Amino acid sequence: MKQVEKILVPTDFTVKSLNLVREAIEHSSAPQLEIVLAHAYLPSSITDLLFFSKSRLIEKLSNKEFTEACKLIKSKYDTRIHAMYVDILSSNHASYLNNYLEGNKIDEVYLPENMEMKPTTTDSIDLVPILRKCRHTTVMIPLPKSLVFIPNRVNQVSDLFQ
Amino acid sequence: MKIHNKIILLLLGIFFTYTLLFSGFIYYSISNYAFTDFYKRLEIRAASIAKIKLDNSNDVSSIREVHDDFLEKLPSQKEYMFRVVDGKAEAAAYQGELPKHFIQDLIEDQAAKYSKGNKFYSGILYETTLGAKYLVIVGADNYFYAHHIAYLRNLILTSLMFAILILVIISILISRTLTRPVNNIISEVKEISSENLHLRLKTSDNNDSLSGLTSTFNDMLNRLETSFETQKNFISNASHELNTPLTSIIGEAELALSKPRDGEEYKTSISKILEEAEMLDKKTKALLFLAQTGYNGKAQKFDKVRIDQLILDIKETVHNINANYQIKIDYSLLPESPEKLKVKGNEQLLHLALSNIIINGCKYSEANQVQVGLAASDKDVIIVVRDTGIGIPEDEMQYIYDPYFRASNTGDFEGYGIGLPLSRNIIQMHDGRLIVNSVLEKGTTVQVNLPIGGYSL
Repeated sequence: MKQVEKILVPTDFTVKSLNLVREAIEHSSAPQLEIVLAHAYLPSSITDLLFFSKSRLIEKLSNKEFTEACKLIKSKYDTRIHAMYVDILSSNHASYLNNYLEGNKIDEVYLPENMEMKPTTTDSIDLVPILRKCRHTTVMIPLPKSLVFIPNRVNQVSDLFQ
Repeated sequence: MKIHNKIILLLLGIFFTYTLLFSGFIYYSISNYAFTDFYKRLEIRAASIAKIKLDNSNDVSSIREVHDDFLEKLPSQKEYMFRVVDGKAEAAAYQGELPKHFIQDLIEDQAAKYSKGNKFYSGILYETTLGAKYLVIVGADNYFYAHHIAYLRNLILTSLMFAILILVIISILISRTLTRPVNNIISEVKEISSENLHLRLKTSDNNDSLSGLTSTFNDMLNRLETSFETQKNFISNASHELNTPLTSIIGEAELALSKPRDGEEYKTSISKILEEAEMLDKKTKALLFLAQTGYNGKAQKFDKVRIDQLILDIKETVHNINANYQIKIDYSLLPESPEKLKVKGNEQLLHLALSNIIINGCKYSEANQVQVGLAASDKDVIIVVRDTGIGIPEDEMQYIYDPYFRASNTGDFEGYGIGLPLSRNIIQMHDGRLIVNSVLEKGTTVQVNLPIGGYSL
């Protein structure tokens, strides 16, 4: 078994979506994990395309609560998380995603079984249905009911608690 | 000295020195130029005259032509010619109006200049082709120096006078524009007192430091006004809170004393009085505590506190207070390293603050389960208290930290409105943050961030 396993988890920059990361870490048996938080974003305007900068985009999309929640997870699984970072995918084609997964040597993809991702911006794309079609090791994770049916909670760090 | 006059004098000084230096330099260089130029002209004349009169060569005629055609006669031009033998001029040279030292200088240096009043002399020692030596001296009135320089001097003096006049006016204007806004601020500030704290200074749109000053001042007034209002509210609320039990004590006592009663009746009314007095005691104690925690810098002992242990203690305490209160502690996000759970703080105070928050959650959710989560980021320990209670109306969120404020939907619950402000005071004393999120009828989530103490194992 590999020492560090690389996994991909879709995110919509809400604290709630990070619960998937928790579940994925619990589910995985690898001693160390490199977690890629993937978000699909298709810039619609010319200026966005021309001046595309991944780091600036991530900064724009993410929020204080999200980063704080990421830190909480990191300190909870300090020894198991080898690295955890956000990456932007810029296509919704299955072939692109296959390429991406292969090129980045992703070992496993974790998807929520019963939770929908809300598009963060109008240019964001829900990755879950596309990833489901990919010919890659995907693991469907059922999230606890209490979490899925949280009545429209505001995005806050406490969403990480079930 | 007033700043107004200071600015005027300073500006005047700078400008006046500058103009004086400037015009003095012009005057000096022009008069200097007039001197040297005139001497040069005299010297050329002396040379050409010497050539014409003393030599008889062929080219003399052309020099004479030049002399006659181009060199006009200067005002009161006079020519002198003296023969020099053995280094001494003939006797006539020493007897004329020319001073002896000038003649002497001329013989020694072969050229010399001399001026007396308006009259300028320039001479050369000329050696003819035959070898005879002559002193040739030309003298004339310097018309330019006599008239133009005087005119220039007068011009400069009058323009200096005008310059001073203009300078005074400009300095007054500048100092006015500089000091007027400050004076305006002063007069406006004088109008503001504790009676009309709502008044604000006029702000201008431009982005200079003076408008910065006014906006800073306005900000300060805002803060002052808020704290004034809070104080006023606090006093009226506090006196009301303290008055209610006092009124019932007095009423009960008066009722008991109005006519003779038997022992049993006295007993009930005294126990009622005791109950009210205990209530009063609780309230004043809470008030005292609030006042104590409100002041920073008091000698509180700060020690190592383990938050997970503290939360277990609090759970116990809450159970002792009311057995119906259910608390579920969620340790699922507990960090791997226990160092991240230690904060620097006062255990009693933190116990009080957190138990206040947890009891509030239990109280307002009618004994539903309250979740207490514990986690840590890289800088903070985070305690999350989540209830499914009545929530806080959105428009009342801004008042929740006011002492004695109680939300409009809390009518059915007992309380004084001291708990949350007290908790916040304590958490702020520990450099922490208190974040309250609430949805009406759905529940409230309180998040407490406390900085990690940095204790190693």
